[in-house]
Amino acid sequence: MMEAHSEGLDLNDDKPFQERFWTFQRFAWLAFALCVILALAGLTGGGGPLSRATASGDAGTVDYPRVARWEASDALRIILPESANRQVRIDIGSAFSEVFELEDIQPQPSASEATAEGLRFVFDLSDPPGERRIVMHVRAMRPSLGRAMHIRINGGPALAFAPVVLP
Amino acid sequence: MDTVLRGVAIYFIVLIAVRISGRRALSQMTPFDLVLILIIAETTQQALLGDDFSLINATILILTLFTVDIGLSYIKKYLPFVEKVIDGRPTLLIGNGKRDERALSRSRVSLEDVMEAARSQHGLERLDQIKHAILETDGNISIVPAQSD
Repeated sequence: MMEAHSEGLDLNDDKPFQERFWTFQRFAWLAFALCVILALAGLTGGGGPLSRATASGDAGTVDYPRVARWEASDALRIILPESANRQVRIDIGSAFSEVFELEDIQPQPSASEATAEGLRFVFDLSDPPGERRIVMHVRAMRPSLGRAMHIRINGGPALAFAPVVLP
Repeated sequence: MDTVLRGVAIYFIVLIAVRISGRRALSQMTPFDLVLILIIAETTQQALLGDDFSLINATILILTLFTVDIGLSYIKKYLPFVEKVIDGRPTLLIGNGKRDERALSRSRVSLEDVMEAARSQHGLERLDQIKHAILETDGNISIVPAQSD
């Protein structure tokens, strides 16, 4: 609706709206900056100081991404302590396979089974002592809001973790 | 199904980001603006397609984007508030030769930008030859020259 402007101009402007919009715009810029800071901190995935977390138990530690990204490659590490034996059995709960696709496991397991719980892998380890690692390269196949997953090492208690997968 | 969701999401994310960043980013292809537009185009491409390069994926995506665009144009027609928010309104920067300093600073338009528009549109030489200067919704500045006596 064209209203006659005080300056003798037919201009469809809206000063009060514009003022509110400018204020909103400044707040939005702050939000942009905040997003960048969160991303630098690692809270949007893709590396960064806060992007990884661990779930520890007596039998070992699971190093997992706190925030993962949809269809992006990531890594899950199982760290076995000095005292671990020459063979280790890893049970992965089925919730894990529902979100992540296993692309690669290093080293290759000597045996793998499908179990009622999910997946079971048996790995050969070198002689103790020494910290040994199993690295699984995973890819999140769907966004998820912190679905509870777990891994059990040598039949021990479940090490629970709940990575968030951002779309 | 993913295709439609990705398409709609990216459409609105880019729309909101460009709208909030300020209208000056839309007009005037300075090298800086060109780089920004090229990079944004590249970032959205992969997010839109994912790893699915089939024809049906591309087709659904194109149709989705057009549908959202057309749908939005109808919504803007029937809900003027939506049009105001998405397209914005023009801003009077100079009225009857008098500068609105607040409008100039909040819109992040410098007097040099205004003079550039005045020179290219009307060949004006000085600020006092400008009667009205309006920042349009597309980011361009329109100049109404003062009547020469």
